[in-house]
Amino acid sequence: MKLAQWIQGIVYLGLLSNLWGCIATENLVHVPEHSHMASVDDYNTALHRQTVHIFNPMPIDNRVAQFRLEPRVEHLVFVIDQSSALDREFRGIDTRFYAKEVIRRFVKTMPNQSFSSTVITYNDAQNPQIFAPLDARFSVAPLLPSELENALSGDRASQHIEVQTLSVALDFVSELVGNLAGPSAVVLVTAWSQIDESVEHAVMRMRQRVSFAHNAHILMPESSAINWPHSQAGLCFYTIGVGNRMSRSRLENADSCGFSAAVDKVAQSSTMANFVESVLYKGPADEDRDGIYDYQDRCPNTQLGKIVDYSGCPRFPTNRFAQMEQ
Amino acid sequence: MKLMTQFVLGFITTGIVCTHVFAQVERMGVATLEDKQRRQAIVSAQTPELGEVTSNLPIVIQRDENDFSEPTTQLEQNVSQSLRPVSLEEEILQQRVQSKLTLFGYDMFAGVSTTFAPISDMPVPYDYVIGPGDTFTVQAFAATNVQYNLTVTREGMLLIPDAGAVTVSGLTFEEAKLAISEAIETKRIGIKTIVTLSEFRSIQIMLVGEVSKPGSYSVSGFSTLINALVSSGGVKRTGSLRNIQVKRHGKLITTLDLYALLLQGDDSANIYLRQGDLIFVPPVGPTVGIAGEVLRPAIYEISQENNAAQILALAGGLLPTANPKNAQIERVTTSGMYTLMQANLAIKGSNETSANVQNGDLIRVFPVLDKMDDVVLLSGHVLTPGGFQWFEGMRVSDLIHSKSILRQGAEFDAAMIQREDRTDKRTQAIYFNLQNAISDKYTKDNLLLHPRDQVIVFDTHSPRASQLSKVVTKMENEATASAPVKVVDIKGAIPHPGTYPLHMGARLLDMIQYAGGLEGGVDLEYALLARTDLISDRLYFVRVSLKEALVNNLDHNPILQPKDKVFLFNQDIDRASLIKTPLERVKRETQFGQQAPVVQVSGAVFHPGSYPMVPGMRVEDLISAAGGMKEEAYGVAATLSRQVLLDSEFSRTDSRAISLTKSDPLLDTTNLILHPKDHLVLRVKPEWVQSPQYVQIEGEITFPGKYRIDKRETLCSLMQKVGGFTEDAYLFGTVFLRDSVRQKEQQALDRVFDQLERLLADAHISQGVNKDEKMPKDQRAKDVFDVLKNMSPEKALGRMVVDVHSAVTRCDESSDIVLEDGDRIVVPKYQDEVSVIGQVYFPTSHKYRNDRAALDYIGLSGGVKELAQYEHAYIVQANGEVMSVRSSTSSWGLFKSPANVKVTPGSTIFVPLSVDRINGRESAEKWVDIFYKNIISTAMLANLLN
Repeated sequence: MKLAQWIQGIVYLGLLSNLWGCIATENLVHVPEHSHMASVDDYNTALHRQTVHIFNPMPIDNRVAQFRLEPRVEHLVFVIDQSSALDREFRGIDTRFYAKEVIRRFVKTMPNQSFSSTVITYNDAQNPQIFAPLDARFSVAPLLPSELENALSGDRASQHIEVQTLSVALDFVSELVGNLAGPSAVVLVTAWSQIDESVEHAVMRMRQRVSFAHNAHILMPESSAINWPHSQAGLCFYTIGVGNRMSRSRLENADSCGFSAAVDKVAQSSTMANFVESVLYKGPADEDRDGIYDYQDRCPNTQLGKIVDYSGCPRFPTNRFAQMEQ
Repeated sequence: MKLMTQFVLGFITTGIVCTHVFAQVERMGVATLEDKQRRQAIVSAQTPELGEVTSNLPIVIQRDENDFSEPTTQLEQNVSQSLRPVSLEEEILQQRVQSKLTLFGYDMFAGVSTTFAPISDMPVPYDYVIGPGDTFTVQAFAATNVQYNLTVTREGMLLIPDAGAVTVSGLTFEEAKLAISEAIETKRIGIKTIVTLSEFRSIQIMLVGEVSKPGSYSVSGFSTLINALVSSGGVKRTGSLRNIQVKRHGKLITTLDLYALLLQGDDSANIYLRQGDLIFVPPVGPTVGIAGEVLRPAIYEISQENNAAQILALAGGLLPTANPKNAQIERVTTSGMYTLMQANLAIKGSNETSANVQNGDLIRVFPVLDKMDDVVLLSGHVLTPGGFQWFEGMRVSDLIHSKSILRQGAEFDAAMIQREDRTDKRTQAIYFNLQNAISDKYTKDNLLLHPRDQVIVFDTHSPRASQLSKVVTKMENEATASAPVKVVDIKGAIPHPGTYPLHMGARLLDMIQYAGGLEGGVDLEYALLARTDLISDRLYFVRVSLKEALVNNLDHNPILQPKDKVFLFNQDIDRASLIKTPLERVKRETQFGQQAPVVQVSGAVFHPGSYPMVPGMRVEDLISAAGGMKEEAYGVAATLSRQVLLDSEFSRTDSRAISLTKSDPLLDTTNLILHPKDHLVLRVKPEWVQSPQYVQIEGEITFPGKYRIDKRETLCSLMQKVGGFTEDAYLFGTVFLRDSVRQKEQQALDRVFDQLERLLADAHISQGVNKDEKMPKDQRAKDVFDVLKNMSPEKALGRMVVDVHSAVTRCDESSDIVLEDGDRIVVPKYQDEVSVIGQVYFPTSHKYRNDRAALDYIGLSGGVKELAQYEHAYIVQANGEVMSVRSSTSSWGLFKSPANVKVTPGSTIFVPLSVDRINGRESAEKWVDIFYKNIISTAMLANLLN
């Protein structure tokens, strides 16, 4: 028995020394391994089944007109990950295709009007051609939803980038939105496993790029070439994760615009309508600022500071007071 | 036998009496409680008095002996039945009118015994007519005295010796006396006579008709008609009292009206009876009942009387409380129905104007309304409460001349007038400023008083709502569907919360003033008005800013409506529970297609909870509803969760980041309009330090004391601040006490103690290790328990074994100690002794020598006792480490003998009691271990720490 303990001890010691070496050399401690994450079995216990593969768009044109929704952003940038990380199947469909399908659904739900926008596809390349300094190779143009849909049709969009990692691709997108005048929304479609620390940093950089003042500087040893172009245009960053039904919100920040959602949470017609609305529009307009949206407001020019009822009319009309006081 | 009869008789009588009583109770219809309450309710509703509601109306039940002894006649029953309520108003007034009437006059025959008592000692009436059977005593005196007792013969003669017969029959007594005297004196000259009547004859009379015992009676010759009636048991209830006839030889001699006797004392018709007289009592004549506010409510037989005034005279007239103008006559019409006629009894005398009465009528005389007019009432916190005379043009200042009539602590800012509206008979409440009313006659607060006003003066200390509860109840009773109850509730941060009668037209601030005014610390930004829509009866909330109201923004100072509820808050009030009830109601009233207008806030605000959503509510409003953000709130951003309806049926929860400071157009700001069911979460600042953290360091330290630490402060840096150790410091023996460790230890200790009894019980019933071994003695196991219980420390200490020396000297990541709040570090002096305690023969301390080890010290203490468990001995090292002599290294020794472990100066060696000897169960060792360790360390530290 004592011997066995000894042997065990030696084995552990060997193992420990092995591991120690790994840690010391590769510094793996802070890198999460997303590819081996626990998965949830695909039980579908819901009694109410939604169709997954048929998409019947619910265009929000009517809602925009009816509720007088106020636009949130001026520019719209779709970044679709087509890299090898998406080289799997989800719901019987190629995940890469599914990533494009989400944007197609988005575009079909959008109001039929011209929008300053672009579609960017990203593929990973082992031998990247592009290094720093980053060039502003992307641009936005006023496009109708149908034109955006065309841009999606091919294998690669008209604006395509092949770099080593997604984070680099996002740095190029930063370059784009950083140079735009108005606020922009970036919708990234990717697999959750793609989002690692470098992507987080890339998104953070993108945010800082559009929010910090000119005297800020970036701490990045190898990128001394980056000069800090200050822009306070504003950015909303949305992430749609494909290949998984769960939500991951690694890119969300408490005080910044945008959120993450699993593809299942936005892919159906009604949920997509809600998603499109929250990306493009702030909410119904309220011109007289009485807290009642214009489409509900029956008294559109309420005096500021009046207590109103749900129809936007003064709760205590003044003429009634005059009568009562007599 | 006699006893038996008495018993039977008694039984029967009781039976009769009992049934009779029950019958009456039922007939009166006042027995049931519900009936009484209903009547009271109606009465209180209909009599708008100022003060007390006359709830206890006297329901007079006339119940004399007669009731019990005589069965009621059909007539009385009929009258009683007709006295039952006819209409609602009558029913109310019925309360004041006797429920039961009896026939008048018959009770004069009640208590008279029916035996004839001979009347012999009364003087002879002058008009007494002598007849056969009377006995005279005649005394003649002159030369000789003679006395004769002479009886009138059947022929009517008196046979006087020596004088012959004298006819006396038919003469009155006086006449007879004269005749006898004459007869004697003429025959026998010189003789004086005295004539008296010594014995009366008895006469035979007949009583017929409606008398109790008709028949032939033999009565004294002196008997009058009334004597005969009374002594024969009287007139039956069916007999007439007003037309009693006496017939003599077939002729009507006289007619007796007993009412004349009873009411006027007139006995002129009361004649002496003669032999053979016949008394005839005819059946009762027409009757009229009179009930209510008269002297003698009863049923009267009438003869000549034909109008109500005369009946009233029979009944002895009106009581002072009667209302003669409004009497009623209930009559049976020819068509066989009852009818009701109003009669004015106030008109007296003339027969024409007074109402006629008929047989079977019932006159009801109602009392005056118990109501005072032309008065004003002063009540509340005054020295002289009560009624005051009202006059035209009377004002508040006329009632309250000066402050001198107010009691100490009277409220000057608000007083109330409770007024009866003359037109619609509803109660109104009018508040006014008492101070102004008294000091300045011409202010508008000096209100004009109306008759029957009640001025209520409040006081500043007692709950005002209870003072007003009577008025509120009254108003609640007056409420109808179209006129809702005119009260408002004021709750929360107000000196006198409660329900107040609403002064119509009063604004929010006015009512707040009446409820004691705005308190200090009241939330001026956020107050709520819960209003019930009077048409739909739906509740809705209005958010009111008192600050705005105070600068005369009428929107925030609205005119209050009936049933409004005002909620005022301050920093201390639990807002959520205050508005819980109306909020629940709003939730309940939410229908399909709507969303309950409730929003929620949680996190770093003063009053997290649910709040009503008012139209146009924004995030900032919700924050101010929750009393504002706390000190530790993260001021940059908050999260808003919103339930979004997709396709109007599916809901999902959206999360929105709310920027609290930035005016970023992309982000939602505090200006965001809330939706129903939104939930705002305010975060706490990162790494917020709620309370300062302290560490106490004492002992051999240059500057011992209590030091405040930052987060992640280490022992190393603290040591620099405290100036290092003194030269005597024994770093190895440093005691490091940590609160979180102590708590964990305490929990473990408590848990083990809880299980102790069960463990002992288990040990008793389970087999020992060796099956054939006898179970340990119960008594011994119990002893162990007792010992452990006594020895166990009350509190765990929470000592951590730390390597202070390397922590302080090396000051690197691997050896440093991060301090926590409440850490206590005690650095002792160098100790050069080693203590041995427990199961040794001589527990004591020994001088430390580095060439001695644990077993050597045990040996120095005389060795172990028989009960000791030598191989389980522990060494508690000076740094708190507990080592066993049976450590793993010892297993290298031969025969598993205990190892001679090295000890450090200041350590303690403990030799435990043998567990195996007491209890064969292995698990017992486990908890004994825990105890021993604790006990040792505590024992060791006890002297160090104190």
